[in-house]
Amino acid sequence: MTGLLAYFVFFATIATIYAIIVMGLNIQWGFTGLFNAGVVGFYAIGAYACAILTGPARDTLIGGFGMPFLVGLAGAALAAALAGLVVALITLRLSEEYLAIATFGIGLTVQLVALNAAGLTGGANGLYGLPRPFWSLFDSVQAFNLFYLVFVVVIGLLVWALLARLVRSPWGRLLRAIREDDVAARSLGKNPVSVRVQSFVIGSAIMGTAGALYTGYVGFISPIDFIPILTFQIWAMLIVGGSGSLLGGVIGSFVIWLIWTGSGTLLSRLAPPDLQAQSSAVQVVLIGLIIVLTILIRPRGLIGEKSAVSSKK
Amino acid sequence: MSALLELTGVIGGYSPELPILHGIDMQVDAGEFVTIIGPNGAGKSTAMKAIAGLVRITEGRVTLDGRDITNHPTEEMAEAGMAFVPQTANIFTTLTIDENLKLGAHTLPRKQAAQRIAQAYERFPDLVKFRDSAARSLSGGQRQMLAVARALLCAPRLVMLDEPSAGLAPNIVQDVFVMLRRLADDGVAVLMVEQNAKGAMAVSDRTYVLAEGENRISGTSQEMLNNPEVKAIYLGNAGRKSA
Amino acid sequence: MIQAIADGLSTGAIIALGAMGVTLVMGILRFTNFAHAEYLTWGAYMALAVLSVTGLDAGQTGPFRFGLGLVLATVIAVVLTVALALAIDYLVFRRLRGRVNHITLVFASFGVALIVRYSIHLIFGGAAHYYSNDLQIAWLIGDGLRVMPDQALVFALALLVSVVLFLFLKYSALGLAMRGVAENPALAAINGVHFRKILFWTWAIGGGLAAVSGVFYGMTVQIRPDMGFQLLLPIFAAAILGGIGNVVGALFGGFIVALIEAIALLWIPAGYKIAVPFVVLLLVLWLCPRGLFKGSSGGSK
Repeated sequence: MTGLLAYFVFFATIATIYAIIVMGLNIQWGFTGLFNAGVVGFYAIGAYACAILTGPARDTLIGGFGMPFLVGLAGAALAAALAGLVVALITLRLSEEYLAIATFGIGLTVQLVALNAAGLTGGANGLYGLPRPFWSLFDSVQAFNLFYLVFVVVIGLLVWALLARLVRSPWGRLLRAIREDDVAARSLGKNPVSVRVQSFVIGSAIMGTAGALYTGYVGFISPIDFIPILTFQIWAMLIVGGSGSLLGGVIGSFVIWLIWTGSGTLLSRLAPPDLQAQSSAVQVVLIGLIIVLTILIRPRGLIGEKSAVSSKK
Repeated sequence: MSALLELTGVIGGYSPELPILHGIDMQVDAGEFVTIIGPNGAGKSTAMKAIAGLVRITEGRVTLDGRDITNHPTEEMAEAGMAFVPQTANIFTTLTIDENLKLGAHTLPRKQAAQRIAQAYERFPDLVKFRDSAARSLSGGQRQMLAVARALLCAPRLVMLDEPSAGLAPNIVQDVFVMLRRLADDGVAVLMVEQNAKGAMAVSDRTYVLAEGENRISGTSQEMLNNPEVKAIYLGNAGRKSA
Repeated sequence: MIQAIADGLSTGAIIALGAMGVTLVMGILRFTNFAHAEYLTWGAYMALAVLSVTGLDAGQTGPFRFGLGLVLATVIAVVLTVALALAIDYLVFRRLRGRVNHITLVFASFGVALIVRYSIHLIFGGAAHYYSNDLQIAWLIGDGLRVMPDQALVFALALLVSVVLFLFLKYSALGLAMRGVAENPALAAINGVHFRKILFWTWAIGGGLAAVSGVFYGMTVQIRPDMGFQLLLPIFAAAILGGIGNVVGALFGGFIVALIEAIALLWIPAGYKIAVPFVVLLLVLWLCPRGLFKGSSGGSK
């Protein structure tokens, strides 16, 4: 396998993992209108849960249960779902901006825990030597990487199929009804708050799953993998692709990840060595600009097509 | 001489794709008391909001004293000599009565404002003892008094009221109507949307009937009270029986 | 313990200055501006830029590390921060206000925050800066309590600002109009209140306080691109605790958040510092979402 192909496999695997997070955000925002400003937190919870469940035992760690990867995957979804449930229960009966503040806090707090609870997370050094699923079946790293890309794509397709089904189900129609008109939904005898909580929890679980996939891929995680900017990269992916559209989310993931890595490479080539650290700020400014400009140019497309008329509050 | 307020062929609504007003013509002369009646959804409130600049007009024009005020910013209405009392949320419930009145006199110089607030308390003596309490503690009738008092502070030549009788006890409704009549007699033009068609026509000079966003019929209130169509449709069962 | 309380009160004053601005914007313009913390950072850096461009020394007045140089720099920083807040409103928020679901406005403010924070990073670099390298001699009060004169100054300033702001909102014509817009913008317009004027003054007060808060924060810690970001959660916690739109509530909210933080750090590891205001925030949202003190307006719904 040539270097370029190897890079493409790496690129596509990470972009697919991000596409899965975007699907989780899509059900929260695109289909239900719930603002999650701490996406990275739920992703990190999934990654660490998987690492703790599947990792090798170490004297200094509480975790390291050496369980099979699929258990890690399920545990990751469950842990992120649980975190989502707590946040949703506290904030979803309140005004929508409190959800934004609370999820923003979760994102920061999870990173703090990852950094400081060394007994559980390995602290700043992170958790390493984590088993990669089915690693022993392959005789080269390249073969494993290729397999893992297929594995991640299959999981991604499963999540897609699940969401597409959910959206077309009566429950999905209820989601849309609530997003359009709270009062009308209530008059149907449905409790909008509990449906919102369900949607938020499902989205969180999907983000957690993506976290586990990342852990299984790299075999080493540390707090640096979960910096706050990731939340807004994911958001940019969602809105550039068009929120409420599953396909759009996937396209957005690849496009934004390409812009991010591409601008990173370009800056490291062009910027003088002593300004390297500073010039990486350009990448983040770019993400901010993409978000603000997308909102300004397509303010209504953001919340899905149907709500265009009723979105004014 | 032209009318104080004049609407010609006004078309508009909350969004351009969905006009609610389909061509309204209307005139109010100085010191005249005019009522607008019509079934639900006729566009009565929308017409009033369009005059106030709260609803977008896409075609036609509105003039005040011959000056074009079509889609005029709401904020400049008070200075132009027009006041508006919306049907709901027409007072600031978190502010005191005094603060509500001060805000009503917002556009006036300080000295004149104090004078006119004193006059408002004279005109509505019931409000004096609540001066420093929050407006949310007022009764429905007192709230309506405060809303009208506030509207009059900027010395308007035209006062528009959206269903001032809504939610009020019948005897208080009568008080409100009498007060408005007196206002018109003092030279302030009054334009009022009302569900209580009979009571409104009894005190007003002229009446417009709107239906489906258009003018249906109009005339002096006296004529309209006796108009068989108005009787049949807008004056309830009593009218229908006698027709 | 007493030392923790003293330190908490001065940090609380800085948080309170930021929270008073946030609570005004949330109450009157009805949206949660996640970029507000970046206005603190901007203010701190603008003061730094003025000092370095003019070559002035931060100066010294009596025991305070706050001389004519830094006073002048702060005044200019206030103007530049208000200009930034107004420019952002003009370029972004104004185009969205009333046209979209208001959570989209909140979302846009996140994007704005990224742009501002990382532009500062780009221009000034990520390294820490200081206004002055002078060391300050602490006042020793009673039995071993050390209070930096600057801490006492910021505490007094926060009290003064909250009183002035309270009187301004309560008794001035402009303050009355602001409270009117906070409750019912349409009715305020009917009364002849010009929204743009209220918008201007709300950002002017909020941006100005943010700049002052940023300068004081820069004096007590380091000036870094993420300094405001670190204060975002404490500021929101203080504003919500104090009741949205209530400036005096925001003052007490700031003190309460900082005191809980200072006291909690006696027991929990310092690494969890930011988590403390977040836990306070969750508890407030859970137990009394309208705040401990009554909001002076309907606030952002």
